[in-house]
Amino acid sequence: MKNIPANLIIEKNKLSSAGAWLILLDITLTDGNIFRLVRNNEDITFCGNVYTAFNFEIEPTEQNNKGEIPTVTLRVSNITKLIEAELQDLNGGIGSSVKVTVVNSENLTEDYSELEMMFEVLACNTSSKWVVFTLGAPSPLRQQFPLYKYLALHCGYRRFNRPSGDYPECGYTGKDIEGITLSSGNPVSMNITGHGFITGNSLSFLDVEGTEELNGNTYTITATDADNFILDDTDGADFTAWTSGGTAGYATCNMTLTDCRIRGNSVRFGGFPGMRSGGVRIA
Amino acid sequence: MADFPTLSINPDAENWEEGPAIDPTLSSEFESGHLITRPRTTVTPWSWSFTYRFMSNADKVTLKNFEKNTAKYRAVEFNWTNPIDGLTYVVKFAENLKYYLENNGLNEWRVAVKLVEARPSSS
Repeated sequence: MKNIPANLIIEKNKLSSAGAWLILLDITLTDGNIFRLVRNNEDITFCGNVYTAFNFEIEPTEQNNKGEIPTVTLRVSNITKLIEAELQDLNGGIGSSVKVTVVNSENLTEDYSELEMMFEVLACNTSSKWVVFTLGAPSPLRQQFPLYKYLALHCGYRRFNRPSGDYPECGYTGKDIEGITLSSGNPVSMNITGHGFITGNSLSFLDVEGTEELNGNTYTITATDADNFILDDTDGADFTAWTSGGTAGYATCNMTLTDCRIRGNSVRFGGFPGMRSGGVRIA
Repeated sequence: MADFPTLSINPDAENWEEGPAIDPTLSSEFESGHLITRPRTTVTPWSWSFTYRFMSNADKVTLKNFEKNTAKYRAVEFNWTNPIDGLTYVVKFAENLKYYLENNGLNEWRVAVKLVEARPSSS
């Protein structure tokens, strides 16, 4: 039996009350981003978090007598495309968690932990008006098996480690910068012994100290010799003097073994070159 | 933010209506006839509905251009000064404007306007 605070029991039993019962959503996407939404006309602060007034609907649970796991349909307004952009990056947000909490606007400090419902996003589709999530309990019958697709010459990792440097499965780090020369009216010049880059490569930069304007940005380069290259369309006057550190690395990868070898990262390649190509192999 | 255009006439008093844009109360009736009631949300937008009578063609064109080019029909909010209380509200068109020809010879129009508060306010 649920242990609901006495104030909420009194509130729910009143014949009339000034408090509105509001539905709160905590949508935690697979990349860790959390959307906190409330079905109301103004924002609500609950447990120290601001829930943004938003238009969404929860449709009744679909249940039948065929032994299927019940699902809930959650429709979130897509007029602003707020969530859709994230979902496109995250394979529809499948596997994200959604917490539904019903709170009373006059009793926001009460303990609602017994009234929370946790769901997992099982499916997702969007239209110009709505993002429709199918929510339910995770079912082993719905899980992909095997978990990953294994290909001979194509990397199975979801992302390349650059330019953000936050995807350790790939782990490509680039090369350490040994010096940056800035001169007004001339492009930024960089020194890396045996850099291996060629003219036209797009490089990203991380952890540069001093010339921090480079961090997180991507530039096309012109190789001047085996140890130096310049950043196209830059002017040294626009940058701060380099002090130390930083890495330069390819900004993109086409996830093939060839690209991985060019980056010197083939030891961490996410494919299985030993497998014969063609057909399906179950590991 | 754009302002509602200044027109040469005021809305017709007879057709002026205002009230909550949605039913602000959820209610359920017991067998005894008593009602259990709760607010639907913590705030409810206010709406106004009024009609301009015998509007000149020049005013009609001004209003039509404002609706089409500035308010983008119902998409963009704007400032509207209520001619009754003199207060300025941030509103949107709740419905697309309707233009009825009132007097063919004089080229005068009847225009129905419905506005809804665009943002929560305590007023």
